[in-house]
Amino acid sequence: MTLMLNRRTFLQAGFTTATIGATGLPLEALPAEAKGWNWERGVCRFCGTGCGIRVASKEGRVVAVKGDIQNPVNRGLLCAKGYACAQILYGQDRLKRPLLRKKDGKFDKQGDFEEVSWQEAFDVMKAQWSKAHKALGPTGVAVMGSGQYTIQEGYAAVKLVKAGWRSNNLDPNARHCMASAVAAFMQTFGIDEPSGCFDDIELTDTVVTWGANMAEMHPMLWARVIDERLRRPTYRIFNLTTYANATSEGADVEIVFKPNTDLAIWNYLAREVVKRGAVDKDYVAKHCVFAAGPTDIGFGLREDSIKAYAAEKDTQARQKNVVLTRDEAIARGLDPAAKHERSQSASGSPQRHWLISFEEFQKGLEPYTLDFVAALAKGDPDEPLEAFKAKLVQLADQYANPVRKQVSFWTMGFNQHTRGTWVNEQAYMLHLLTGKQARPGAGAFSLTGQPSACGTAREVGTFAHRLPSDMNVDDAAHRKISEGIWNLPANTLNPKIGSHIVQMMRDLEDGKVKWLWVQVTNPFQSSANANHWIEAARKLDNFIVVSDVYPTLSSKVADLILPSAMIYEKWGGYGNAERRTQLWRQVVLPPGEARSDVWQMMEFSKRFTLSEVWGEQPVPGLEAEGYEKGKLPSVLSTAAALGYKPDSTLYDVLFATPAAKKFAWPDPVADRKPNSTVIHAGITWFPEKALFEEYRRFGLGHGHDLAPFDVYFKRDVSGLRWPVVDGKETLWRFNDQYDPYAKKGSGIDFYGKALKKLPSGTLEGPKPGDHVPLPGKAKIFFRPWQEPPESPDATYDLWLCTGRVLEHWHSGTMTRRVPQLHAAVPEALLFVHAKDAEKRGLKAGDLAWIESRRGKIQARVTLEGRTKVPRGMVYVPWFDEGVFINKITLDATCPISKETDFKKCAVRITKVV
Amino acid sequence: MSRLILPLILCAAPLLMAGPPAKPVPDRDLGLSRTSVFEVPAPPLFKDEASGPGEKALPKRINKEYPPVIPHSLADCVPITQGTNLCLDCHAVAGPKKKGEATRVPASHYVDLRHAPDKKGAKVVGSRYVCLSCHVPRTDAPPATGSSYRP
Repeated sequence: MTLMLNRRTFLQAGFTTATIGATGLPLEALPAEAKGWNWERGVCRFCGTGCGIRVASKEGRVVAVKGDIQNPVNRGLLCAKGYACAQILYGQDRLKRPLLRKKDGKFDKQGDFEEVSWQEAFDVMKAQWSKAHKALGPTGVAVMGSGQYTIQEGYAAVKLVKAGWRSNNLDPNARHCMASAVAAFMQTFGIDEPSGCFDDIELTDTVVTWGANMAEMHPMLWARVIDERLRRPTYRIFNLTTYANATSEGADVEIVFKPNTDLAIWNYLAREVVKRGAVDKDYVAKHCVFAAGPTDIGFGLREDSIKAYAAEKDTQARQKNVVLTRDEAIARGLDPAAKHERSQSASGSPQRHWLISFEEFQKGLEPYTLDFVAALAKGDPDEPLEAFKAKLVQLADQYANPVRKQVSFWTMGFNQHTRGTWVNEQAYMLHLLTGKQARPGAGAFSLTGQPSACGTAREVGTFAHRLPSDMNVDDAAHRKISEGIWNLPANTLNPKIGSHIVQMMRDLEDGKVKWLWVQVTNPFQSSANANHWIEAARKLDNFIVVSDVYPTLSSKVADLILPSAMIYEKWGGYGNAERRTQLWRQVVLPPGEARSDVWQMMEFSKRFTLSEVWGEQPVPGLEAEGYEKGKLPSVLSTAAALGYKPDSTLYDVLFATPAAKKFAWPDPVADRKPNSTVIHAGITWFPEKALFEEYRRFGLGHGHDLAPFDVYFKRDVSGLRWPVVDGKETLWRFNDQYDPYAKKGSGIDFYGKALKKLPSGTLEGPKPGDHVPLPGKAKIFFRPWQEPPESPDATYDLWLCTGRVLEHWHSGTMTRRVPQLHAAVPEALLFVHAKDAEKRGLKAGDLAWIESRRGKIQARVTLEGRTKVPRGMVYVPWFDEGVFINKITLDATCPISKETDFKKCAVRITKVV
Repeated sequence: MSRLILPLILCAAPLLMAGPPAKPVPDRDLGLSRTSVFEVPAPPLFKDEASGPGEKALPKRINKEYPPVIPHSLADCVPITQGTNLCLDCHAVAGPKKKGEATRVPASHYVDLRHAPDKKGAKVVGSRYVCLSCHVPRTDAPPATGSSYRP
């Protein structure tokens, strides 16, 4: 308190000085009341909150944006990035013409970038596609997509790649963002996406953020949390994190835990709930079953890669064989004095699971006592153990209290985790045990980092294993439904799951993918262990296309760069983290020759005839009922029966279909706004509406219902949370009072259908016997804590955690071109604890080497600021291509979700001399 | 003009307007870091704004909707916690602004748009309590690239 008074006094003093200093300086007047500004409704370009925006344009340019007061997500407010949505369009180096590496007038991988026409760009792109396809078949080509794809772009990509090229090598950067959340939703509920909605913030009693620095990453949700905390004295905020951050500043209780021990904390909490008799027995008996899965599932690393650096080999060896630490032995109920060795496999079936009894579940939890977990999990070596223990007990008090409601939010701290799927499932474990799931104000709630990670990557299904509306390529019934809606011959779709985005990078290095199109993402900056992938891109025989709005790090390693239209320069739609679908109109025209991604895909599809792609194709490893091993059959003769000709193009078959052409342009819903896709394609139909309406058909009638396109543009609609049935959105899924799909009278009905027939067994494994159907049930998983693949040791003695900052979004390609955001945070700093810095002779502002088994880079040291790391850990944000931290990070993934763990690896830091 | 002709003309327009092709660009010259992807650059040193409140002229507003950038040092103003918000001590002062006083929090910040959108309250509303969500600090870093944005 004294400190505060002192600060205040100091400020008052400063204030007096200010009076003198400021004399005669007129306040910079606000720009005059804007004349001729036309306001149109839009959505923020950045995170998964999905703030409603009003976009002002004047004379063909976006001049400003403001928060949409009507939109319940953000009620008129935006964060510092959101307010910059106008400026992000106008960086000086916007890409305006295609750029191709050339030497002596033709494409050359070693050439410099020269401006070319779209015609030439597509000619070379197609020739290179055919070269790769001829050599390797459909698996030799790949598309890296995005959670920033509009719904229509993602849907067009799925059709082009999966239906057109018969390849499942389409995977989004969202793999790095929330694949673990998806896997856990499917395993727990049998259907993807949160049961709750943002209204839970105002309805709950306690918000718990787990690996979610909401104050910086979702500032407008944080505004709602803080608002509620200030108006309601009994409201509580707990922040669980591996370092003190901006969210800690607003929290009531901050719990700093050691990386990876979140799994142990959940098990302690569950053990407490059971011990205290706080299990909601009725809820569990009616709506839940208990489940377990295999334990030694590896770390998603490559085994025996010939390209591995010598220093990487010890971490990769743990992939195959682990010797349990003392703590791991205790956690498994084994003798800690004995040696326990376990062989692991990355290629097993980590997703397998089976039913267990409540007694088995309880047995799994038994080792996770307060004493054991507190000693294991305490993350700040300078915090007394008793203080840490007391906070764990306080947290248990919250969850175990039957009267208080909780919402547990998480983001990348959980998802980017070698046990990401498990730790997501543990959140549901506790909420289901206590009956605090799918009820207003109560639920475990996964947040997303990208504006349409939900709406596009997940719902449209731009993952290597997915089809629209939670369907999968390796499910014959799902393929049949998709082939029906797309009017494709039977067996056109490829039943073999494609490469996920991490695997695509590995495939590139191994020469298994030789043609890659990157859309709306910057994967060569955002993928861990990046030295491998930039080397593969530049030094091997392959062809890389990057469509983007600015030159990015990925475009530096590309062979062809295509200029894209940006958010308000095209028609689009996003789906946010609470299942809210929001569509927008195009406001202004894209600059130069920049084109919408929908146009790019449609135009490129004109260069493929059916005879080229729908004949027999080799697919190594393909094994599926009704298919010859390793082959996709020719479907050309059945295509003829559908009225297609061998020289029909993919454009005719996939995009300009008779049904699509019925959506005429101009359309009254356009309200006189332009459509550049229509203009550039020279057509008289409305591709974005046609794509959306066709996509909608996938979700109708089974809990994924979207409203018709035009409804989202009604004045009184600010997006709608699906399922939208009879024009009504759904706030709480699975709850019969709110969700029309939940059986009336059930109270709660976990009606998701996937993975709902299981064998029974013990923690050790399933037993032979019948598979039990589980209609209406959710699964409470027991998941053990384990050591991560790499921890600090004598050589690499510090943990490295990476993440974002409030002012920059992802790889910074938009926000770093906004002058005031760049000036606020001009570069990625290395956050170090003062004592760790001192030990290494480092002061604030010094240049330091950061080095891991995988590479080394330089960064400037900071000892203070909003990120306060405990001793033993350093933090570096990843937005800055000049501080290329992903050259350092480890490409270990959750073996189930294949999502990379960017939150922990071992590094050393030294002073640059 | 028929529906078909207009799009065709608009389609051709950018091609007609495009200037002569630019010189070949090596990849190192693209993007915000003018280095090869294989190089390890030494990042420059930037300094946080060090001036006290009122010592420097207010920077120009970006547009009438963009929250003003914080012109002074934050060193003595943060953290903002549930109990302490030193920004408000100076900026949320009642009565008309006198010469030399801090910029007043505008009336908009007293309206609770979620719960009571029609009336102005006595306190800055909770949803606007974390000033740094919208108002950014500054350093001495020059822009990373030019901008053709104008309000």
